[in-house]
Amino acid sequence: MMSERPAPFRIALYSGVYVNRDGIGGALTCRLDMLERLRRNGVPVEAVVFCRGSDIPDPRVRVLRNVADLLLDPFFMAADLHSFEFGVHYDLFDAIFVLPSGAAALGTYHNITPPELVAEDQRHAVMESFRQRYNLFETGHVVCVSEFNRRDLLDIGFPAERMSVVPCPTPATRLVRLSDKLAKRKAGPIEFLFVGRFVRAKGVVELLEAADRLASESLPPFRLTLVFNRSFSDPKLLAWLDERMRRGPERRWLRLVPSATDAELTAQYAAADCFVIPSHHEGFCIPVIEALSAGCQVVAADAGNLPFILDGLGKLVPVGDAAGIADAMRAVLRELHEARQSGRMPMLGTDRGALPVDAWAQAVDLHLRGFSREVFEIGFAAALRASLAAAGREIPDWLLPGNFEARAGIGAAEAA
Amino acid sequence: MRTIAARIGRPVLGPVRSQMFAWIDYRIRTGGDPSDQLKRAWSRDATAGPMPVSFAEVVPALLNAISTSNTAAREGKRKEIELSNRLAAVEAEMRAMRATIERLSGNAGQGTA
Repeated sequence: MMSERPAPFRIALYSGVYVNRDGIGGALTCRLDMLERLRRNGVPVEAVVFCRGSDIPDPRVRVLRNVADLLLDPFFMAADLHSFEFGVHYDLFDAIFVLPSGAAALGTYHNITPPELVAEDQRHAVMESFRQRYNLFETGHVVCVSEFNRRDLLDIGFPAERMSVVPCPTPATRLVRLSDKLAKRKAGPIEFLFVGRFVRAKGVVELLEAADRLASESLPPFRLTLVFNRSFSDPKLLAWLDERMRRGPERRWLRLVPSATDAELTAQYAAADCFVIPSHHEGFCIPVIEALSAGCQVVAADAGNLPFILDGLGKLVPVGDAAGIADAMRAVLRELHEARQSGRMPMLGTDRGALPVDAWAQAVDLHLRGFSREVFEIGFAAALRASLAAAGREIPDWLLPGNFEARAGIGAAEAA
Repeated sequence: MRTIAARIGRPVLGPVRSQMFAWIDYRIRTGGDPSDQLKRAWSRDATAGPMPVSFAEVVPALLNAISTSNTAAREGKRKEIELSNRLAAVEAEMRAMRATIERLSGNAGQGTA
């Protein structure tokens, strides 16, 4: 007698674009990796990513011309669950109003950059994004990638009971231990690092102003390295920066690393003493987690998700305040220099108070556990269950608590 | 949406959700162009000439219109709730002030001499 194979559980994943080195793209990759692992472990699950553009060669990715193409795709009609990533307006998200009856819908909210922080030519798209954000109300459940995003949705009246906070996963283990880094680096300038797009919204203008101030004072030598992607940066600001580098005294203390590879970026974190992120807005901010993982102290603006993701393990400064950034950088600079001179370990200035290196490293380890793959997958599975329940659908056995962790290869200790 | 409505020569009417699924169902069953169904649905005349707009043109515009009206409705409702909450807060404040005035008036009546 032939045994009947169970019908596969089909998940349609949606995003405007699905590209490498992008926050939303990273979240999608994590979901696909998890579903592929489940499939290899015998779970009858199928996934397809629908998007309008992608640089990821994966047979599961379907690039569509518009939402009409989506409605005619057989996988759209057959999917048990539709999972929409949302951070910027895209027409495929409007398909949420015509999902086949009984299909479950899940949203993931990555936040929207406020219009005043984007270039004039992007304002219309941002305003459209704010309008389309209300599509999330049509889902059974919304995953917010940060507490800041959860509060953002609460502000527009989204019910708290239909939301959960599931951060994007980031490196589970430390790339560099701060104590090792300090032991190795006994000479040379104190290294500050910025990673992000070179746009005003990232606070780069006040960061350079703050570094200018430090350079004009009688302080130990320092260097500020800016790692950014030229193609996602403001051309006018880049021209201004290039001009300064050609003519100004910045060449002594400023280093530009445009379009770094992953390996180069890792090397920059490993070489940095302090990561500075004076952004005016962040929906999540993966670089903070990368910096903490690499044993960097952090100075951040008190804006967006930065206070939540830093959780007191660095110094917050008022957003847009060059003097405040300079004060925090100066304190790091002086303490690291004095500690080097006297052959002692530095005390690390944080919003939890001045911490010895070991205490800081322990607190950082504990904090980073909240951004592990396991936490992400368990949170995502719970969100899948919530959206299925909201649609009145039966939850498949493999997705039930306990079963899911076993099939996804998550150990009991990690699950706890 | 208005442009498409003008080209078809009819105002855009709801409910569009079920109609759209009829088009999709038609496509899946017959492999035909749902634009034919669309034309019939809107013109109510199966013998009408060639479809002036395609399914690919209509669907994004229709869905965008649904999304926009959904947002307007939800924002309107949120503003209404905010307004009624603010009104309730003002009323509570007024009641508290009235109680304070009454208490003070009572105290004044008792005198301090």
